[in-house]
Amino acid sequence: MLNDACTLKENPIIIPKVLIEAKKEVNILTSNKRQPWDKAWEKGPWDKGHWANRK
Amino acid sequence: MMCPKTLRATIDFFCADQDDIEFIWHGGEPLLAGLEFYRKIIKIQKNWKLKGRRITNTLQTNATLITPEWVKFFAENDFFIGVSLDGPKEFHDQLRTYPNGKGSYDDVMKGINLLRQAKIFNGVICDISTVNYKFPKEIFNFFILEDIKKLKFTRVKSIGHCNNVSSLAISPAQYTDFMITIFDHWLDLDDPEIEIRDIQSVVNLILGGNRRECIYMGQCDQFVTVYSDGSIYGCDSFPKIDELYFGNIFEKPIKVRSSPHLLAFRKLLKERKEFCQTCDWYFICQGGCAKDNYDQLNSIQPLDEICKNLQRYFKHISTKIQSYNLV
Repeated sequence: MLNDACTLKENPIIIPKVLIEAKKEVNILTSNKRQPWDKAWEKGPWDKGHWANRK
Repeated sequence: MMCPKTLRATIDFFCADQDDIEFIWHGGEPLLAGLEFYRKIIKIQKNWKLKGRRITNTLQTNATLITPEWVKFFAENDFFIGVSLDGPKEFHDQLRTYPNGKGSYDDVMKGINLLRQAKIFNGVICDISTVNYKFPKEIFNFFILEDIKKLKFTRVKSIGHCNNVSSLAISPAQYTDFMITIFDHWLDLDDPEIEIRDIQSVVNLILGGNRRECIYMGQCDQFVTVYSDGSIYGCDSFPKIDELYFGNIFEKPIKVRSSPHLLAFRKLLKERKEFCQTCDWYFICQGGCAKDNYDQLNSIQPLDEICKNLQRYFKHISTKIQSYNLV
């Protein structure tokens, strides 16, 4: 049996900051802490898509 | 150009029965309309704001006409300003020229710097064409070096509104290759200040969110275009065709909303979504862009070439995210 001190440790996976931020944003969006502009998505014709504007 | 009467009717039409309205002013080149045109817009919108409407103005410009006077006006009136810039000078100047053949790059950068000083620069849309599609890293690095970190890359397609751009059009596969390289480079640079809308929308959806670019909303009926004569058509990705003529801003909104063409378009979108529902990637694309993903307006089945490349793009991003155990 290997001595603990000699055990090879796996390289930890370093998650890119941009993905951590994306995950945080998803958590906020799926919680109740939604931004005012999200609400526009749930309204009638031509009210939707504020964030997703084409330009 | 839209006359004052039509301009007022346009703003009144959309503000009459909605709380949140976003106006996107574009052309041609929207600054050619002159500052007075936009002063009128603000004056008309002010009455609606007093009634509680939340109004946003976005403007997409080539930035060559930007002056300190424009910047002051935009800053005072909370406009979001996006600029069209097709990468470094050697690419941009091949694509965007004045009538005398001179490239506009130097003037665009002057305009961007003025917008930046006033903190109203809202990023760049970069057209990807036969001129620049082979250089994703060079283009990305150029933008970062210029401290331009809000980016959108669009594929030049064979159908344009004004000019024949078929010699510049690239295939879905070429565009996908470009975007995959951009995604990988975005991860490598790992700078949270960099915003690439399409990529971040796909990442968000794969992670379980619902931040959707218009092409992933499956609600193309939510975007309409008002032309200078007040006619209302579908999204401006489409050419101006009778089947997507929904009415005129001088008509009552309720009449336009119940236009047979609009209802037929909604039915078509529903049928397309039903067709796509069994696809593993439906949760992202929702049938995709009603214009680009289909051969004809009445097609239910999306183009195979488009689907294959979108699937390749989604799979690449998803595999990468999975490798970090984030889903």
